[in-house]
Amino acid sequence: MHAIDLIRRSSFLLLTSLLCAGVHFAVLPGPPDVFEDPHAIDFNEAQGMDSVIWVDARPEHQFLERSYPGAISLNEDNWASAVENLLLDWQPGQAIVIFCDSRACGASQVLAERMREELGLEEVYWLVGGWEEMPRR
Amino acid sequence: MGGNAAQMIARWKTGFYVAVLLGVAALFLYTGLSKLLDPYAFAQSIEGYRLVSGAPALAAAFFIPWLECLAAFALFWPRWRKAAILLLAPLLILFQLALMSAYFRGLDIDCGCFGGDASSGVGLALFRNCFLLAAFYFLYACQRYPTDEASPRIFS
Repeated sequence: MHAIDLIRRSSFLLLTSLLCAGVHFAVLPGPPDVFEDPHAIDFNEAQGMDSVIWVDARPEHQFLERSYPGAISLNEDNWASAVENLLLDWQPGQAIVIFCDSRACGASQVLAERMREELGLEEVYWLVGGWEEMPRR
Repeated sequence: MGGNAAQMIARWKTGFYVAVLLGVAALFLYTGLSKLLDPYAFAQSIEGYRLVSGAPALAAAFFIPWLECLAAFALFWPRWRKAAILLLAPLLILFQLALMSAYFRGLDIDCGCFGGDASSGVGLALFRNCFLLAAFYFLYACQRYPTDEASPRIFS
């Protein structure tokens, strides 16, 4: 195959992909609103609550490096031990807000769902934007 | 006897080539289609790498899955195969660089390799991509020798 032919075919694939992507973007409805999830919460809303337990769902080493003041480390790896400590601190009616690394991490959502299902806690929220959007003190 | 052995080796080579080709094409079709189902979730995964955000991440989230699908489809046709390899291999190298960057920064993210639903860690994705890069090298090397029996036609 001649180089020119190869370039022509590659360009065709690239341009077709670009065209399909453009059409796809034009016809697809906008992004889903994360706040449609009743358990999603943003930082200001969480801070406005009367009493909150902050849960850091990031890996242990990131928690030890830096975390939100008063936050408890709880993730899938230390679930068994950390959840006991959490329940000792938790008071009925108190909200739990879980955060992970960023908007894209997903661990906070998974953990919040697990807490609601396995521990039967109602007010467990996941923080939209995660650690990335929390103020550093 | 020697002729039979040579024929058998050639058949094995052809079979291996076809298996690698179908495997790579199927994987890219699957990953492309899974991302196409929810490009916004893929855009979030891209933002998780903290290399790009906003409009560039969204543009990549719409463009990359289409490129994966079309190039994977093109792999089935011999006349288009080399062009597809030359697009998919650099894309894979780009993924690998992004994954390495996330790995060394210790980011706790889903790799986003299979769209929003299926989760896969960064370490596993790095490992898997090494095999994919080797597969691309093999396919490309076979393409360099068009008369070689190990470069068969899947569809004519």
